[in-house]
Amino acid sequence: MNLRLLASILLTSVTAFAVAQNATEIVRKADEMMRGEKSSYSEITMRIVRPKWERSLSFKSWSKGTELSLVFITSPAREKGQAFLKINREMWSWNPTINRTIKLPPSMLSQGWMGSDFTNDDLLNQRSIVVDYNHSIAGEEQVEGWDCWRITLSPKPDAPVVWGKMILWITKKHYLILKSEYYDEEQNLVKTELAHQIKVVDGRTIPTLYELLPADEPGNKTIVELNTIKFNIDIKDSFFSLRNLTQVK
Amino acid sequence: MKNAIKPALLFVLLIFGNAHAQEFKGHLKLLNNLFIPYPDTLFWFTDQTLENRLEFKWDATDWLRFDIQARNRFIYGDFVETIPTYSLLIGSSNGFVDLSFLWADGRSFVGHTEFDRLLARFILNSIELTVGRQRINWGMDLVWNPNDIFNTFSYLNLEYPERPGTDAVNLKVYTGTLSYFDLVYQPHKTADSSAYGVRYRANIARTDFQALAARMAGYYVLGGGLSSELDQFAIRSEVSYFSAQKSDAKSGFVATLSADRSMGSNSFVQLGALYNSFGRRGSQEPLSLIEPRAQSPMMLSRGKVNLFVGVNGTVETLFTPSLVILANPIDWSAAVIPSVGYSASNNLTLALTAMLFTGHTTDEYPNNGQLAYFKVQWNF
Repeated sequence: MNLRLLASILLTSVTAFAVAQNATEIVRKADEMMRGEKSSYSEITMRIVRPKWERSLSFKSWSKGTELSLVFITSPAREKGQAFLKINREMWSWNPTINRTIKLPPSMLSQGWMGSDFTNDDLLNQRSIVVDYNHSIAGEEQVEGWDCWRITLSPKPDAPVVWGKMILWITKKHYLILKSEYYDEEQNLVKTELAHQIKVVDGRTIPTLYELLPADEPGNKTIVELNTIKFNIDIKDSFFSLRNLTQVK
Repeated sequence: MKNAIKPALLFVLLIFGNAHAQEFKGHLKLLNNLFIPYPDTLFWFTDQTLENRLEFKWDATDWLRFDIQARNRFIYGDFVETIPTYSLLIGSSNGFVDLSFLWADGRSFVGHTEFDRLLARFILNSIELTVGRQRINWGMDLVWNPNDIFNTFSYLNLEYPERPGTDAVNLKVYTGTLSYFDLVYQPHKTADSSAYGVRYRANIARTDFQALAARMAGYYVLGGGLSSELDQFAIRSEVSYFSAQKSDAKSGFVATLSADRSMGSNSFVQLGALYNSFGRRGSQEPLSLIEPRAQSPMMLSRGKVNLFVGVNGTVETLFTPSLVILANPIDWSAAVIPSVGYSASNNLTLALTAMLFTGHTTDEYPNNGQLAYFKVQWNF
């Protein structure tokens, strides 16, 4: 059995131990709670909400570890079939109508994804919250009735990240990130992410609905709903390939 | 008799596709073209196109997939009336098999259906064999593709983003997660016009590379391309050398270099340059009134050197303005293409595009008039 998992079960059952935990360990557990320790498959619907209109996008996503990810768009009709592959810090896209595989410029990793408030970094590189930042416990607060640690993340020198600071509210009970604040390099709040609808899915307790609120555009938000999620699926590294970029469905 | 059989066969294909399709999608598009001649006359030319695309995908088994796509168009207006050979031009097929038919041909209107994808794909482990009408895309650059031997397209052909298919056999052998061999054979009615080629693509040190050798009508081709990174930019380049088989034809090469990146969260910029040794001064880019335009990778430009600047963005998520300039720096003529798209709903988009030419009569982009397109598209 995974020692870290065993440890986390022991620690969560003994509150005194839990409080004394290392902030990095808390973030690591929270991250694994969400992503699956090794790999995951999910079906996601994203709704872009503005004061006067709404657009939606659905996709399937496979990921393994920190570095491998494949995304396949299932709706709307116009974008259906487009796929994105990420291996380490390189990304490719495939457009089925013209059968074109394109290597995307590095700048695209931080670009808003398909018109949403999410960046490619958020979707394809979230694990960097563990490795690219230093973590410290800044306090304890309640979020939606759950006892949480408030943890500050500051980027390590030369880390390839876009945020100047992050603050995460992580539940003590299940290690769930219920609230995240993203700050730019000038320490201004850029966006807030909220998590709701905590359910037991595939044996794990996780939020299944997320809201992303840009700080400077009140009334705007992006809602992400996890329709399906499976953790620790049997998937080889070789699944994340140019071949599957065009063959996956 | 033959004329009756073909539509019937194509109709059967449609029914077959529909009955078996596990995935069906398409679009309905209304396109209004406006041409304002220069020097201006009393008359502006307009025509309307009602276009429908139907796509059927059927996965018979894990290893056998089918893809059938038909493009139906009804075009009416001044161009059809003014150009006596319009229906011939639109109805001409350069495929090995003629999968198109003209179902209406009047003085001012034409109706045309073409199957531009009709393929079977066999997948066995790391081998993928595709037979039939397909889009074979060997390009790495975003604007000009001298490596794209089998489906060369012109950037100025705005109204065919899907691009026509090629009747070919394509064998792909994946040798790694980011590498593969491609073998293509494109038969033609005369062996002399047949094309074939081999390509190898791989990724080394965060760079996609490809090398190719091919034969196309009248030429042997050796080429290479790369797509790499420099700071936040993607750097792309393609070079193809065309060696003429006959002594009276000229050999030469076409090369591109470009850079592109996203800026902020909502915009994208592209810069590019093309050198075409087949280009010459005083050769004009024809007005893109009728498609398809015959293209070869040696004809990516009329002049020797072309420059490209493109900026596109997203404003308030729904609006997608863009500005593209294709310029010949020798005669200083240019095609300027401003455009704005609008997402009216999840499946309905509008777009307004203009194509403006700045040159004199003998320049590459002569101002014989300006073009504007208005498009409403519903995807389903």
